[in-house]
Amino acid sequence: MLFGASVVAVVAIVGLVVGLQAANRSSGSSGSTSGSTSGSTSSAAYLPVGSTAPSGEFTTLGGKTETIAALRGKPVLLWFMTTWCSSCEAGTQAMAQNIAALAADGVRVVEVENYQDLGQSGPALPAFARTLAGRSFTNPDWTFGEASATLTHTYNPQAYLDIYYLIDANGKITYVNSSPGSTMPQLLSAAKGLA
Amino acid sequence: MSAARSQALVAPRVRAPKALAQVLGTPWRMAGFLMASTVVAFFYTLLLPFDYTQRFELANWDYLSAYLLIWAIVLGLAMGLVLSVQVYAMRKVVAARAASGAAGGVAFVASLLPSFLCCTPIIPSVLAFVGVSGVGLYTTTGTLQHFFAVHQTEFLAASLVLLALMGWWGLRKLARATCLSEEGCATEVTSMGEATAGPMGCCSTPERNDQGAGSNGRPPEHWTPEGVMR
Repeated sequence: MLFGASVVAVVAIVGLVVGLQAANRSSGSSGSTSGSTSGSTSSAAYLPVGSTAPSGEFTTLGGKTETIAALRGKPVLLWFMTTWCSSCEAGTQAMAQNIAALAADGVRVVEVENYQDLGQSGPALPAFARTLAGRSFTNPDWTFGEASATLTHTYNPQAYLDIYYLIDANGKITYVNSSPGSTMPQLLSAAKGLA
Repeated sequence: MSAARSQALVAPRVRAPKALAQVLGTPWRMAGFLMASTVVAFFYTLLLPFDYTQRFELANWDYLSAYLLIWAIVLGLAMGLVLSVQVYAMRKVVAARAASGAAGGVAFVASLLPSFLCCTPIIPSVLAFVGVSGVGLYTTTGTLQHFFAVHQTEFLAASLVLLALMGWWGLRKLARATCLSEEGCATEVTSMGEATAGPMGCCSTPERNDQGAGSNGRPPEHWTPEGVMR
């Protein structure tokens, strides 16, 4: 009986894995490029695709204050994350492996820490970036910074730990998703043709 | 009949280690335990790195550290044991079904909380859904998700302790039950006053023993509460 129950459990779990895989695929391919919800964010949780990216300030690791508006003229991946978030660690490592591919499509990556790490203690951004980005840390197409409170509230109203926007050269939002560590293929696909 | 005589008519008590030996006592049962443990451990290897990917897919293994792998194996073995005890108990005594079911489920859910509630949009979405907004949303989201992010070890340890307790409790209940062995236990008294044992004596209950009760409906004279799983 125990053996039979185990076989049933195996079948059930395999079915669950297959089902969730299918669900992941369908959510990953759903219209985060057309304005509908993505697999892991709700429609009220982020700025809509097709809208103009609002401006806002962030401070780079070098201490320079930059604005989103000043980034126009070149496609930008604007990524909000926290340094104590596991998916943000994984995403930064994945970004390091794919920064060249994004740069080949003319995309500049701006990875900004949510304002004050959402009020919690985590690794300092310079150490986080240097450790996880590795040699890509000094890549000129990858900028790390800390978002202002206004910028964080504007782009990340529900305080997700990990959410990113793809913005074209004209300042239009073209794609929204989360966790680039697991959505990199979709991100690279969305970045094609932006330049 | 004296209490001492009644005690002599029931099968001797079995301690938890011996009950464990009987739960895993045959190659098929051991194979079932190992298979159940493997399946659960496999499941954990996909679930524990969930917070790295926010997805449930084989790619989660890219983030399966040695630390998470050890937890997956240990939790898989613990859950496999609980399942084995539960299935064995269900086969032996229906009343033992409560030995590990609900609490085992609680342990399973608790072990997954850090992975599912850190770094995913679940908490902020729920908070926004219930109407929390503005500074409160930011503060609460950060606090809750940070809590699950930094207390993963404690959650996993608590789950393991709960599973271990459930396994021990189930074994203890089995050990306290009579008729644990395949030979069954004493169920009737011969005309010479000697107890006999037989396969049908397994897992005696008052109702079962009532088969030998008199017309007054009282339990037969040889029945003893010691013979009932509790």
